[in-house]
Amino acid sequence: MKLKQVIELLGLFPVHLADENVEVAAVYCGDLLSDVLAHIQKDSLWFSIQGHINVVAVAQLRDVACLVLVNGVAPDPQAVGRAQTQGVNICGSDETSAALCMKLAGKL
Amino acid sequence: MAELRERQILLVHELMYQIKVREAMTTPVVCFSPATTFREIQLCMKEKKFSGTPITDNGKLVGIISIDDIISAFDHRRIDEPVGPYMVRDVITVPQNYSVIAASNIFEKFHFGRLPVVEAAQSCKVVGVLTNSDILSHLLMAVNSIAERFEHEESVSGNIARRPTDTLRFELVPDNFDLAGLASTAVKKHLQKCGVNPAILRRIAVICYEAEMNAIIHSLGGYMEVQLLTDRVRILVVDEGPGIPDVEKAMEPGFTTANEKIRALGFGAGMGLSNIKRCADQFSIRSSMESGTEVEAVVAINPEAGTAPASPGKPAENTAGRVP
Repeated sequence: MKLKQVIELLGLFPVHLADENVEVAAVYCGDLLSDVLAHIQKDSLWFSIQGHINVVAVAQLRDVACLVLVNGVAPDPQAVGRAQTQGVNICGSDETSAALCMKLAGKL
Repeated sequence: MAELRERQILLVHELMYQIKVREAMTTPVVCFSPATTFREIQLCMKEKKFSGTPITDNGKLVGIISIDDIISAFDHRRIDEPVGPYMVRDVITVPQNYSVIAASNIFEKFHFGRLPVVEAAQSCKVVGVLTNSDILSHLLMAVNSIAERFEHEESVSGNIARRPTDTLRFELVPDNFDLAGLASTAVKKHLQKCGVNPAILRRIAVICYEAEMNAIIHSLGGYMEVQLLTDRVRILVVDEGPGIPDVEKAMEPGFTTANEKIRALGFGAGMGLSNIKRCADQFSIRSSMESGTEVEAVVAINPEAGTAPASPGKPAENTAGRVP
């Protein structure tokens, strides 16, 4: 499924979209960066509550399809700036990772 | 070696003084009046891909609006109201004829994402916008053109020794979380251009990022060197201390000495070194309480040629996380 369809399905709030046509292949939930680095699959939707600048680097390094900040967490302005220069997609949602995963189940 | 490092740092410092703000800033700058609504600015930010903008009245700077303000306007349901009453009014600016070192000091002191650039000191006329990335990319361009000139001079003089390897080197500054990850990102982009297989590249990226963050969080500073050889990539991260008292314990997954603040950012899970080891084909770590820590990882870039044996339990690529 393309990212723009996922955004519509989950009602995500786009913070920065570098490419909304990227294919989303999997999902990962994690707030510990080393854990995410170790386990996230490429082209994943990444649910996290970490909105700081270093998260953007992890997303870029692991070819993440889109970082989704859950629970209403707002990104740091620097993180948005870095996402723009690095071409990383970021969206936000007021819902929890679990609620979003339930909505996505079986759809990808 | 220490002398070489000192020369490299001196060069960057010198360039920071030489490069003027007007050379590095983004221009033309998009400005809005105080009567513009948050939504109008947000739509323009989305279209033109920027995250903050000066607010001007008759050409004079009166405030600034960042993506943060837009987000809180969404929160407070005032997205269709004019920004005038809510904008930040005490705007710190930098004159265009200043060195970028002055702007860099302001960024460091106030943790701003961007600075409006004014025509001259005491002036309110905005001529551009400057971000930390603007400075960094201009600096990289300057270093690159010096390197090119140097190579050209050497080849003209006919005594150039063919470089046997392709080496990237980055200084790692302790506690500088704003620049953290940039070295790993640069390595990934470079190796991507060199045609390294994407799955192998992601393993190299994990190694670089974990090693880079370890040095930034725990060390007194150091450097990362990434060497692209014909059959492998060698990553060497050397720091100046304080050293790891018990390396065996540090290698245990889950062992961490990171403080509360670091852990709140999602670092310090105690998985860094084991992640590096898992992603590398060869791994070694040496640490002394006198001289610091040295981590070396080697990743074979064409494993089918059998040049570097892959250790068991490798493939970092997995399918975990797929929603059924």
